[in-house]
Amino acid sequence: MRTVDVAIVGAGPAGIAAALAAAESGVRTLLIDESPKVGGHLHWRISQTLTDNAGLPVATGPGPQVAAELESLLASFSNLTLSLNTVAWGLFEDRVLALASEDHAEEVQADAIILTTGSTDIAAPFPGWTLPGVLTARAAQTFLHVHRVLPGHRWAILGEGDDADELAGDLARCDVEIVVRHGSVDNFRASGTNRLAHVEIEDDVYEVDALAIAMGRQPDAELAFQAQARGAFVRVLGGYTPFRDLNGQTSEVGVYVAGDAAGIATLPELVAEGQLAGKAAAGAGDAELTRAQGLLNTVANRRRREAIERSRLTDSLNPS
Amino acid sequence: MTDSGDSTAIRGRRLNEHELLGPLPDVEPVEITVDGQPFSARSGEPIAAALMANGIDICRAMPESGESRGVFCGVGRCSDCLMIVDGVLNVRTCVTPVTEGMRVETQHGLGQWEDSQP
Repeated sequence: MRTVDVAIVGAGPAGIAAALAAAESGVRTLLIDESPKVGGHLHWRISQTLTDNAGLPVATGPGPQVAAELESLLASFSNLTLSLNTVAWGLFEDRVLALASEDHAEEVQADAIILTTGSTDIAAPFPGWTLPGVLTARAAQTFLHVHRVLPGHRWAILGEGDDADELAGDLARCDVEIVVRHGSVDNFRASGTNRLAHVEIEDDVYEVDALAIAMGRQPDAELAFQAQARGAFVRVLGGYTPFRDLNGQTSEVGVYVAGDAAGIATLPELVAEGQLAGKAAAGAGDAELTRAQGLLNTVANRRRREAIERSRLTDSLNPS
Repeated sequence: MTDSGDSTAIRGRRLNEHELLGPLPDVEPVEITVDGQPFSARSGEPIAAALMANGIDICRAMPESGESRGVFCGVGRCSDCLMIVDGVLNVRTCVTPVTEGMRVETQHGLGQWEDSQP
């Protein structure tokens, strides 16, 4: 079985930050992603900007540009291996990761594993939600910005909050019409024969050809729970999340979770979390960890700071 | 083969320009067929993107109700966009890239393997 020092699952901003931090420490680092490119949501959530206070030496700019810069940064480390088009489908005892790509399957054993697996769109059902033309916000962003195809020209957006606003901004740049926005599934239905044609809100009917469900995202830390990490539903973090110590380590020793997978975060927050987890997983000393924790506290918003505070309660999870 | 790019519906769905992303980069076109009809696709893009750009939003019909399904999650999770590709059933078209000469078919219900007994 192949062994590495630090394996990171998910090459979005948090995972890249973790991989860079680990690789800088000189340890053998493996970064895994199921897609063909590094960058994760930088490719579809393009209106976010990465500022240098996130601590990464890259220019600010549209996500795909930042992702390309990060990719060449990753390539500059000879002790860092990138496995793209590779799904990490299991995390077993003793930090053994099960990997699969189109023509290859293997297990990799790591001293430390960092899960930066991101988030999944929340999709509450409503009448008509299965019609072609109804899609998640992430699907809409992926088709618009990665594949460069318009799912429709007359849009409805279901949901309210940051994700719905972000998508509305994305659509405004695509020369399409936002016909209606609605906050919740109450009194809401989609209709059409074979394909979305209308949304109905109480007695009002709107003619649309695309409907995005933008009800927010939930943390996706399935691998941590498969490895039996303890966790709880934490509303402020967006869903069911693993308990973590200050560095992002779960109740399973050597298994870390960082970024959106640990609770929905802003871009600087998840980069700072990735860096911290990367350093901790690579065995950095107290002074370096304190500095990385300080950086995270600087960029974290109030909600995040409170959640980080609360995680102190779980310090006793891993007596060392 | 005719260039399928000359229909307004198609031109209308390709995002050729974008203020943050710039012009759509040129890539090698590939030709695929969907239910026997030829369509042009961009090399490397997923099947579902090529279909959507060509105005096709329906991927399959449900086994019992017959209801249509199309792209929902767009990232390989939900299985709504399954189609028959080169004779293989249940292919996730949103994460499977097009290749030259690929044969894509709408999947009705559970579909049927080409070499299976009737």
